[in-house]
Amino acid sequence: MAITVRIPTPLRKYTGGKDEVSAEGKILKELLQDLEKNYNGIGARIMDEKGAIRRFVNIYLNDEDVRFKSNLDTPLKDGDVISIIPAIAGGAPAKKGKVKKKVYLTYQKRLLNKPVIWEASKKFDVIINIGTASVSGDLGLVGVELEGSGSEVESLIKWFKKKGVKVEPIEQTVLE
Amino acid sequence: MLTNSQIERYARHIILDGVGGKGQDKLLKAKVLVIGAGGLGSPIIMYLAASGIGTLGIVDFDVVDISNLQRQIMHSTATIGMPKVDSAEAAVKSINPDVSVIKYNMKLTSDNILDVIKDYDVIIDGTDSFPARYLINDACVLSRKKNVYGSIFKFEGQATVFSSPDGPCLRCLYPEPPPPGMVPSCQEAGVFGVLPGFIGVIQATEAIKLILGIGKPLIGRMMLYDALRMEVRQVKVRKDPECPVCGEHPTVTHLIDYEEFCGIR
Repeated sequence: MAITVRIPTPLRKYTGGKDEVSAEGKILKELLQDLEKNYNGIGARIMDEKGAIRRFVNIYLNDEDVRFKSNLDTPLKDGDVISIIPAIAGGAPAKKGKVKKKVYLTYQKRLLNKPVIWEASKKFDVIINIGTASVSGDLGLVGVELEGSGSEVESLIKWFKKKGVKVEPIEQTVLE
Repeated sequence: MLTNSQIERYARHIILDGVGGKGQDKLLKAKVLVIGAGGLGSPIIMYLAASGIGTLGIVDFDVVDISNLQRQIMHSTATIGMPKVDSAEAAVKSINPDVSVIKYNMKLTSDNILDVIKDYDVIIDGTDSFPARYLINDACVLSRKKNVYGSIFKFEGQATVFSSPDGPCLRCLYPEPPPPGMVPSCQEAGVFGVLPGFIGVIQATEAIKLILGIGKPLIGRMMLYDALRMEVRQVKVRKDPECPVCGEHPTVTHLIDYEEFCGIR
């Protein structure tokens, strides 16, 4: 009962890098037990604590999803090909560039005694470095440099605007 | 009606059975939304622009980074530091000034996505995270929009068309995204630079076929590509009557913003 099992990239570390292995079993459940016996740790990636196939992993018998057959009880025969196909997300799963963005924050009087920057640095994973600050009449003007991932910096700027803080760019550079 | 310069530009489409002048006119009137202007988005946007898609919506909240250029061929050394939507617009205009570009320099959330997608004929998912993919899937199901899906991991890619009237959606295939604890940090993964080219071109192909109404769309089946084995396979994707969003008794009836993370460990 030799059945070919196709191993997806994310699970190849359990099979010593092999993209295809052989396993045995009359039904899928037995095959997965045999797979775990030979490649310790792979089982937990495919099945949850209760032994059910995880919801973000699919197992195919030839080109058919076993959920639409008999799931773990799906009978197998010699020569079948089992494919494990997990959900993958990446369009470009590489490192995100850090962005440094210098902006002027202009506060209205009603915000002057609120700890807006303190709140911002607790809420967002962005380093807020104050360059200049001045208060004249009804307005507070703070020049800051925001450093973090592009998306986090953008979210912070949106949050500032929602709070009623005017945000104007000074300049923008991207760090390697 | 095509202008003389359009007839020249699209001559190879116009003489092609299955496209023709009528088909080209459909493309010029079509509105396609590309979500993600990165590795997948680059070939998608460039080929759609070259093909004469009349209106291209482009969504991305990031800026061009030097580490993107190994695979994101639409951007260039000269556009490092520029918002990706601006760099993308410049690329589109240099390929084909006929195309009107609508830029969305923002992150899609449950609050804004329905409004962004509502005017488009086809949605193309070229994003890089599970939260974005489930959000786009659910929004496309709720808005009855076809979702041309592509995703990549290291040397492998998947592509299919979700959310057509009788076809499956992402949740029919994978009911839930993996929990954040089950995924590595995005930095660990890496990606083969040419891989998004292959998957993105399949997405662009399917989008154009859907607009033209030609051929057999990639609905109800998923293409699996393995660059190292140089192998393309297909598996069936069935519409699941128990699907939490497009099934008979949906439990996902409003949009969900999942926590950020990036791929299975």
